[in-house]
Amino acid sequence: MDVTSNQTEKALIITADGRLDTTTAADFESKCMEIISSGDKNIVIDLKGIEYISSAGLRSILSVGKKVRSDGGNLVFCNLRGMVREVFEISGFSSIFTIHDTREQALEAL
Amino acid sequence: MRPSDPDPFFWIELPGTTNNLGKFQKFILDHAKGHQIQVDITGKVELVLEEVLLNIMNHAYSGGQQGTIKAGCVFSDEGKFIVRIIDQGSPFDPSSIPEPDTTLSVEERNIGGLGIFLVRKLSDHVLYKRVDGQNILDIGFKI
Repeated sequence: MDVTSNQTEKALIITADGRLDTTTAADFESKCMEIISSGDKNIVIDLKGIEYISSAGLRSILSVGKKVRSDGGNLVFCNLRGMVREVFEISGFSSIFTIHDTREQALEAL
Repeated sequence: MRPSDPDPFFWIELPGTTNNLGKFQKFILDHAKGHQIQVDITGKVELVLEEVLLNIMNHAYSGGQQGTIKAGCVFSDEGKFIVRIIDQGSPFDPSSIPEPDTTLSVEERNIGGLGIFLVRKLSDHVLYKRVDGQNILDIGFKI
């Protein structure tokens, strides 16, 4: 799983590519945990490159979300595509996390 | 279907180990795509297969119990794509699992229970039977 980060003035942006499933979720989670350990309080996870997510992927996202919140940070998501958006909505993740259509909107809202 | 009817399903049977998950998914999805099912449906089928099969591999066949899983699919006369999963593991009725509370906050949300919930929400019907020591699960998708 390809996970990259980009520090901007307003937030730390994490971008992931590929599938968030049972084989990749643990890798995604550990890479995110490492990136957010830098201490930035504003985190944007851009899911534009994620085409598939299962409950294993949701669990890794929830773990990252719990970590950011317990550190007093703010985690938002942007660029959810088709099936990923639907799975976020069904599982209630669209209401427990802040979701923006674009990265620009996510950064503006912070 | 009467017992004398020929079996209309296309089947794959493999050991119920997690390394075979991708093979099960590919077999069923290749069949679905061969009939030009829309991409949003195949995405749901793929996810449902991951959730159901992992559940069997990790729970029904846990504690040293070994076995195979049979996965089949068919296009029904009612315009549905039906996936049938059969295993010989411990009895497991997905409808017996309580739904997770999707209104809780990040701090309160529990990590578990989401997989079966997604199966129920992304399919159009889920039917469980326990027959002759086997779990038989039918999952239907409107096409």
